[in-house]
Amino acid sequence: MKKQWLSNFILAGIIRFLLMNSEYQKVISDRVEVSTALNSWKRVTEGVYLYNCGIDPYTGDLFHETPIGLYVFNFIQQHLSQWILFCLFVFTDLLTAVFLGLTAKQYATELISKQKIEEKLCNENKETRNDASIVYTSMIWLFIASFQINVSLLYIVPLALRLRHDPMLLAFSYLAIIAIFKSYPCIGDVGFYMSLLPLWKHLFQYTQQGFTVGCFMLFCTVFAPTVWYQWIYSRSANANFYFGVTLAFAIAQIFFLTDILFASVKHEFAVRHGINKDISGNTAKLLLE
Amino acid sequence: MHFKIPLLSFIFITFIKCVSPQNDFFDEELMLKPLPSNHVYAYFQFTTVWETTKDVTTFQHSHLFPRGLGEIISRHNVDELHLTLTKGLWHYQKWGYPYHDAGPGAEITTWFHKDVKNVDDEWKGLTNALAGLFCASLNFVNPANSVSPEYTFRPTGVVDRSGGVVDSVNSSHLRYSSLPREIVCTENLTPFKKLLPCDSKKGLATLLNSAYIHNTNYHSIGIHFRVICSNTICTKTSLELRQSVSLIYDTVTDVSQDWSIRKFFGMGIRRACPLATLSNIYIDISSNNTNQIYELVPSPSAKIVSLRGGQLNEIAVYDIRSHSSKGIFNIQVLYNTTHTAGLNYPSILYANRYIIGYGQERGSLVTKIYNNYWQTLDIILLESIPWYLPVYLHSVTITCGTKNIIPLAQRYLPGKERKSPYYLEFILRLPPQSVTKFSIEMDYSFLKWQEYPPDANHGFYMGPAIITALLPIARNYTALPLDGSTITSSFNASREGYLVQLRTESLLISLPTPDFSMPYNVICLACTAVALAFGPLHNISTKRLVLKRVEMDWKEKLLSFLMKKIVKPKKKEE
Repeated sequence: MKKQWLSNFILAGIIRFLLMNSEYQKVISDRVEVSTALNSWKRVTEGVYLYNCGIDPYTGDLFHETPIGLYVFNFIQQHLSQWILFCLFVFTDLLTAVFLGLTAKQYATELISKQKIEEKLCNENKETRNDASIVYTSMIWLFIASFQINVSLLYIVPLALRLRHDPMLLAFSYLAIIAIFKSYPCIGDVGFYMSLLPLWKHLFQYTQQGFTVGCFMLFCTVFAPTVWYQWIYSRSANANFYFGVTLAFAIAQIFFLTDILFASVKHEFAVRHGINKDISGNTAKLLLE
Repeated sequence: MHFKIPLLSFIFITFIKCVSPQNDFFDEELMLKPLPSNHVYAYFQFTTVWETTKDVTTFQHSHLFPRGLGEIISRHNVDELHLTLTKGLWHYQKWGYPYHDAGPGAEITTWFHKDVKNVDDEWKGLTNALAGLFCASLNFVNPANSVSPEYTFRPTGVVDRSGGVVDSVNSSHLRYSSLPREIVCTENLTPFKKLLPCDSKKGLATLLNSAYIHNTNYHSIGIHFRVICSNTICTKTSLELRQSVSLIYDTVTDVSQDWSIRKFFGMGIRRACPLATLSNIYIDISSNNTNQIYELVPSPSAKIVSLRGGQLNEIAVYDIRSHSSKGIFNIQVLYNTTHTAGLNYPSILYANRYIIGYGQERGSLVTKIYNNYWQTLDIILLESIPWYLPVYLHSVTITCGTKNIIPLAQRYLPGKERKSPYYLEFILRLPPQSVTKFSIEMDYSFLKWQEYPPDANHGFYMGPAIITALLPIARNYTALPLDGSTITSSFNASREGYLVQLRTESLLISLPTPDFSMPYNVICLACTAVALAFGPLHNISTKRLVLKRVEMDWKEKLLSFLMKKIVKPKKKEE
């Protein structure tokens, strides 16, 4: 198991490092889907440069990082060479992967034990409350609330109440909702919650729209750069084309999220009642009421 | 009894003159300068100098000074004002240096008095008032397209140093703005002419016919107001107003190279303005000696030889008063030979600017500065970049060939969306005989859909960069010395340096444009997406999952009944 982890990490690190040093680095970092006003490294460089010139970077519009971030980036850019900087990027990415992996592992063990308890409890017809998860939920809740208060504000309370027994799923849904409705969406946000996808392996058997969503996303990935090029470079298309693609991508993500949530509800039901679809001999179906 | 009336009126007039002495004079001049490229540069200058101090009561009564402009100047406490309205691009390389540098479109530079508290308010008031006075879109000047450059502009007039501060020149009281999209036409020329004491009824101003002067390769009208010293020790001050018209006529395309006042302006000169002390026409005939042979008809009243900063010019002078006594007169330049190309001594400093990169996402702004002099030249480069083109200071590269050039000084203020432009000023030392390339990376930003002008796909104009230098020699130099007011003062005016402020091209940039019917699409489709998210999430969070028996409606019941009927007999048969 550990050997497999290690080999995967080394492979991922090498790919990341090669991409960074390849000629595609500039192309990728200039892509509108990847680099936005909030995460562009060029803007960070500009902010640090202005800071070193004695000009307040916050008088302008380009720099949006925090003042502590400014000091950190200043330190990084002054004392680290280009290679170490690249290695640092790869390292932070791998660190994220480690944490995600550990979280997933933790969640999986918790899920199994919880499932066992739940099955037992269901058999005994008893209900208990999980206080720890509520604290956990409210922490994430605060964190997310500061993130975006526009569209997602609407969903915070209902989802928190509904998914109070599964804080991980709640966090996942919040992340997905933010990625969908964020004002400067970028592929990094999507990538973050997508990387949590293996957590829901046990829900895949209940999902219904995997094919649709997959096709949607594939088409959007191909179409987005194409219509962007047509609009911005060859000027043979207009803004509607790109807007349409982003919208389609958002809808695909919505389908994906709701599918996972429905699957989790079904899973919950199945754990309690089994996957039997018969009521005293007659066929029955699952309905939300 | 008969002689009393003239006597009385004489006494009356003397009385008035004694009570309100008008220490002012007005000069009208026209310089015609044939250029080596077979163009002719015509420069009109109308100078009003009024020996008085600039205070609140000054402009309550004026004699020759235009009162309308005077009131605006006194109301907004302006120390110095330069306003130009220009169409076309001045080719420094071909045409030398003009009397007044002016960027394409409208350009305005103002020094406010140091007592002015809220400069931005006064700036707004001033530009709005001038917009009304000159029928120009100066009301579009706002803090988002104005800068206060530190090095480029210095006061050209007297600076009030009272108050104890040694260096009271503070760029916080300076505003500069350019509107490169402004189109200059008749409606600007008419109010311009109305500021003249003789209007356009008498004198040189009668030549300013819009049909003729807007048909030129380049035309620029300018208003230049400043406070100057009246005596050498500067104990008294005067107000100086220079109104200028610069025109470039093309004689290349014509059948013959001959030109005349009548050909350029549609009419001859009838009379001098009676209020003018000086009414002269000058023709630069330096090129006549070298290679082009032409004849002036009628012959000039006088000839002046001007040696200035190593440049020798011969100038023919026509005094309008003496020539117009016989009626309308016309000055003709008649060539003996057919088309001849002039010998061009290229200007020692010029620049051009362009954009590199393709697409509407990002690009680079490049300014190339040419130094043709055998020594180094120190220049100031001013870039005022609109807020919708965010530039990255760390991407600035200044190279001369393969060599990097480190600026001697640098000023930068990052822009803010809809609030202020990106202001960039560099002092550079240009190596001798070199081309220096300045480049900076920029992004093209997306604007709000109502911020796009009509015909958004036409693009956005970006004002010129200004390159300021003190030239060591006066080759192709025409501008008046700082201490001079009239064109005559530029003859034999050798100084230590010759100030030029080159303007580069204004650039047309096409920003990414939305489809202007998009708000409808966005509202409809984005709402659909939100609804698609809201429905299922609402269902999940408010409803619970139950197992329900499949209830059949009558069609399904009938179908299943029939199915049973068909299936059962078969079974019986078996």
